[in-house]
Amino acid sequence: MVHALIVTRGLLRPDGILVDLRTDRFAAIRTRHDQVFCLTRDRRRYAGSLEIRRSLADFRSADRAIREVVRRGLFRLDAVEVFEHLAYLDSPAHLERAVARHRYARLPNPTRRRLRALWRRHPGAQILVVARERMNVLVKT
Amino acid sequence: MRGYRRDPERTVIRTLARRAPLQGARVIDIGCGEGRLTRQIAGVARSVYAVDPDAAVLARAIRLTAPRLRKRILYRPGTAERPGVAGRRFDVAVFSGSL
Repeated sequence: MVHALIVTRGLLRPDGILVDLRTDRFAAIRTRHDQVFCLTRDRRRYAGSLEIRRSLADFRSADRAIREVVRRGLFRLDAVEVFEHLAYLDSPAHLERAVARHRYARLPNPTRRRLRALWRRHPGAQILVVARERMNVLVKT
Repeated sequence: MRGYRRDPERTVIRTLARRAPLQGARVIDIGCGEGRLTRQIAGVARSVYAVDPDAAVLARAIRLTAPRLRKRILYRPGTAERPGVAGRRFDVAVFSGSL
């Protein structure tokens, strides 16, 4: 990863910007990421979370690579921003299909059961999936 | 996919645009995947060079790109280590879930 960042630095003009945008996996552990809600007009009703099967090692490696290129003076860390990324689905079936297409996500049975129960009580509600994203902004030095 | 609306608030591109000067910029999108963010960047940037190692995914990205954006986006097979952009320089490089 450090090599990838060094190669990318060579592609940037002076003062060029490198943006690392990815799921905020560390926050994910604390907040049970990605959260699934049944969304009606007046409120979000929590159903559970998706299981993300991607290795945490990948995220730690990316963080280490960022720290390393900053330590070497190749980039300056200009900003870190964490924000919510929302996806809306028309029904639990749409969520099932979206998860089936996703490389790393799985819908755990407890979340599935609660979501279906909520959907039965609130037919026509939307399904909301809330993910946390992190953006690291680096400036070429 | 019908019945699935991902980031309709455009939070990602708005956050990105606030932190990086995309207006009129030359951007390289490394690991562009199906090009969802690539197309949003192309809406404001001067040009986007989008690379991904998966040829099938790139083909889908090209199919999903509206004709009005095609002249601004150049999709090419490549990786961060071997982007295949000899002689080009960029104002902004974006890794979207690809670092």
